[in-house]
Amino acid sequence: MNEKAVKFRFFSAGAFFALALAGLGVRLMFLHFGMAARAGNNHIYTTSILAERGRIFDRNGQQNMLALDVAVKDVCADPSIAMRLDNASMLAERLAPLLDMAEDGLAQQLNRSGQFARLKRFVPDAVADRIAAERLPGVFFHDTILRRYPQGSSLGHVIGFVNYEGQGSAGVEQRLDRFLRGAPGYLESALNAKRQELYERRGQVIPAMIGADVFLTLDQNIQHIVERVLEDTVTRHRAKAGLAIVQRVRTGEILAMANWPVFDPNSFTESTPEQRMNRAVAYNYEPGSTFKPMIVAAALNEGLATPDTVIDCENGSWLYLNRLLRDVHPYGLLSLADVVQKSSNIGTAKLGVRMGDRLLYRYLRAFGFGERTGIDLPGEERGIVHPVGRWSRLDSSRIAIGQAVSVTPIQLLNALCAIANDGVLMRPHVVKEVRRADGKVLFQARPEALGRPVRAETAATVARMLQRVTEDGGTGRRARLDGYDVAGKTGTAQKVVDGVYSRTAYVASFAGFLPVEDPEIGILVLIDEPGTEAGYYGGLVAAPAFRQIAGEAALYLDVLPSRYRLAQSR
Amino acid sequence: MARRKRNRKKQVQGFILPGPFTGIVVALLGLALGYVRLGTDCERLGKELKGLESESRNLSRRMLTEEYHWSRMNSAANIERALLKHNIVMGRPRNDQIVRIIRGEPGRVRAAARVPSALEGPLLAQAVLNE
Repeated sequence: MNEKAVKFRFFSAGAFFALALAGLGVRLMFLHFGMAARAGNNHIYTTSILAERGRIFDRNGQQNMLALDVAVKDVCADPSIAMRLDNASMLAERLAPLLDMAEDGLAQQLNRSGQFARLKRFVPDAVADRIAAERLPGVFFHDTILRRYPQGSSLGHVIGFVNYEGQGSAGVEQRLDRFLRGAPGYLESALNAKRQELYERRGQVIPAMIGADVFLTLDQNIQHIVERVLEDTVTRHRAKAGLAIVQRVRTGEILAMANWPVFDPNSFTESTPEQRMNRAVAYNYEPGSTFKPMIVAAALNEGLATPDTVIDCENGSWLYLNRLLRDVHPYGLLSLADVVQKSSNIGTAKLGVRMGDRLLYRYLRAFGFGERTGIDLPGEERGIVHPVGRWSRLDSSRIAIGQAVSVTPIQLLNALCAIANDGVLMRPHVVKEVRRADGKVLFQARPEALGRPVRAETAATVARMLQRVTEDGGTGRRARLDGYDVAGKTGTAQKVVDGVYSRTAYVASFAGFLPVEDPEIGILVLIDEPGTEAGYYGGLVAAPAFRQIAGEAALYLDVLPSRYRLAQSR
Repeated sequence: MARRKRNRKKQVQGFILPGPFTGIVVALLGLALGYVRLGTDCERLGKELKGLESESRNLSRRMLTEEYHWSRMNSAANIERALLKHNIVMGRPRNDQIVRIIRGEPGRVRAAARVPSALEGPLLAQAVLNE
């Protein structure tokens, strides 16, 4: 081999190694200084990671889900691509049936300048997959989250809804928004020219914190019973609206809270504000005769009367301060127990007058009227109880029969439950527990006593008097339930229309509890403006609904029948 | 004087790399190759992680959707509709159809059943059963 050939080989080998080393060096530089990322048309981007909102369950936990986030997609397009390819009308034609939208509207969105057009929001994955399979140029998707309520309109007034910005805007969704919404995460990374993330260029990553789960005190099954009965009652009596509440007497837990008309939180924009109003907490009304038990309890507690005290009911017509007060049926002398059983306005009004303004006012406040109960729902009204200084001389007689005073349904039921609960007024609540995804309990509801307006003996006496209301001769016979001793009170309140008591618009209600000897549940049924043709009295309209709800709820909750309890105690 | 004969075979021609330098070059080469290997592995793992992240996201999306559908299906109203559709009538038992068994004294169970209301008279029939 001559020297020339040797040299050639030497330099070839050297050049090869030099090239290999240079390649290796370049690769090292790219790796070490991240030049690969800088070399392409990529750019650093930061984005927030969507935080799933916490779920809402009923009192039975995981098996009964009431609200959750569902992953959906927004269908978007780049109109500039459609313009360049001149295929906007073709795209519109193919997308219209898939998105269930008008072809013209889609074509309009695609035939404009700019690089982004959101064609339809919240498209289910199945539809998105079908669109993706079409491989339409310039059409892409944005992942997003949609709040869904699997039970539809059931419990809608209690759960509330989340607006399109992801903020709780009514009900529990609003009240517990700070727990439910969680915290969005943060991602800093880089995209290449194809807008794909360069994982190796990923900077800061803070994972999203999922919102806490909320467990309610409400029971989906009792709620269903109540909603079914309420719908049936409102429809049958052609009423304007209605509501029913079931409360656990000893703890203040709300087991069911139903309103009619209903609204579906999945499509809250299609409902009116009136439909969305939770009347159970936001409706001020004159309670009528359902208010009397509290007045009687106050008088008994002060020793101003006993169940045997005889009151002259003036044969159904009593002129007091030049204003006539009437009873539905005329009565002469009645014991206080009979006044309650027959729901005599005159007898109770006389009791109110006997109590005097200040004492009456003190008891109204002690029972929680005129102030919010503090239930964990937004929009609670406080009712209207004017201070004594603003009372007319007539007011004590009218307030005693549930006029000249406004209450909310939850206030009224809670006050009645105080009588059932040995005189102890509890705070009603709908939230049982708030628990984070890692199991940490952030909030746990405990029964909270608000006060004791009357002594236990007084409460027991009033309970026995209210039991007679559902017995023969009482106004609430239709609320009587086989096997259980039921206490309650009917109410038929005239509504104030244009400043005067209407003769056609009434609020029919029944509030009661069972079993009398050891009360478990208190129930209020209120029917707003029932049709007058089939009767509008509380005992006729609301009491049967009460019986139906009480019967099914007692069986569901396994409340022991009264007679069974007696046998057990023997 | 006799001329010493050179061994041509032992004569080395050209440049000889010094041993230490060669060692350093080889070591550097090793390091560089290791570095490149690590970089490639990281890239591969990154891609794998991205894939898994995406899969996990898709699965959790699917799970949410299925949870939603399941919750819709097992709602009280839906079950009632399904029963009606198949002409199945179900209701809760009346109190007089229920036998309640209560744990009494140790080792014994007390059972009490309410007799049908039509019979009235003694309202409860009680029995003490051996456990």
